[in-house]
Amino acid sequence: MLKFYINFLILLFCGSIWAQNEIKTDSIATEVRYGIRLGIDISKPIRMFLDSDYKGLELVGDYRLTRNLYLAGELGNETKKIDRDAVNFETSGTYIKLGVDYNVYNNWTGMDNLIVVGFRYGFSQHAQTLLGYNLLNNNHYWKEDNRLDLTTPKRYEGLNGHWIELQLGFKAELFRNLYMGISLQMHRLVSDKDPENFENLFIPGFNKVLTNNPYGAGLNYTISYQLPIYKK
Amino acid sequence: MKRYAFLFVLMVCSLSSCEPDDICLAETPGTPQLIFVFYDALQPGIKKEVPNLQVKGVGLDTDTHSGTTDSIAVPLKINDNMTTVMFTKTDNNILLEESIRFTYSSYDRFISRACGYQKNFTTLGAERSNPAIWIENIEILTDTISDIKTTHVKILH
Repeated sequence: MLKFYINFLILLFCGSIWAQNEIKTDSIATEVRYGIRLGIDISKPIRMFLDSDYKGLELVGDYRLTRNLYLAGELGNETKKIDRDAVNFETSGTYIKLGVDYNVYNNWTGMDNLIVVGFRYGFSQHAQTLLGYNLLNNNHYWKEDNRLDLTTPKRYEGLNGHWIELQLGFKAELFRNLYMGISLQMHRLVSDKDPENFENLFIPGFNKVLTNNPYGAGLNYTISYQLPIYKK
Repeated sequence: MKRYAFLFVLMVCSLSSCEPDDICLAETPGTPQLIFVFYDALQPGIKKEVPNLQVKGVGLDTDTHSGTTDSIAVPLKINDNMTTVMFTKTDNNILLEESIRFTYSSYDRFISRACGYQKNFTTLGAERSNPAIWIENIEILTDTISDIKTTHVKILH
């Protein structure tokens, strides 16, 4: 495992050394395409196929501001049912993430691939429905059933979550203006509105929420198309 | 291309890690039990042991407590709004039985993702079906049972 991290770091260093060598020869003369890139996260339909308790859709987009800086965002909707011994619940809602992407990769002339470091502010509006739960009882003297399935599920509406997110991703131009990308997202919950006598255990766009740890992770795998506007 | 592969492995590693949040620790307090302390009826400020006390839920065969003591904890039924408990004392080979019926309302309080909920009881009331046998008086010190640090019921005998 350690060896892998070391290799990984060496590769990153190599990347930045190559990049610096290329700047002088490459950045002055060539034109780059500016436009709006729109796409869809295909990891979510794959997850829906593998996990019957999950439904999700995410649209992604960015707009090139300068040679390496993009205005970027994601808009999505997720529904996740989690049935555990202790709690059985379903969360569904919409999220939006807005921020910037910065490309740290310097392309050869005419190519447009990206290694992206991104920053986002994320916001969700969701509802959580409690379907059943377990009553923790250390004493089983009465031999009662501690598991409770609610005949009328309890729905908590108007919940939200706010978080900041750091992304590391790649985008490769497969055909002209058609990109395939993957990004790893690390996020930190800033604040959230919890249901009364319950907690946000899943937040759309953020994924699983831990009780004593504000961090979370996610990933997406996108196919996107760039609508070119002008060249500069 | 090698770099892409490395990063992908890193992503998978970070996403598949197991969380301590999924385990309910054994010491997590669950549904609290009803705590009784026995006092002397003649000197109500002084605790008094009950000789050979046997405590049994009415409808069950096994005792929840057996032995001389001045305080006990008794679990209440979580799927009912009343629990009847039989208190038996054996003093000088004389067996004295007395039952108390506790009535209450309850609500379920969220603990955590891994532990679920716990039952808390409110508006605790006590009724005796018989005229006094060995218990002089029952005082409810707090009618809300949400922890196991406080004495809920004081029994004078």
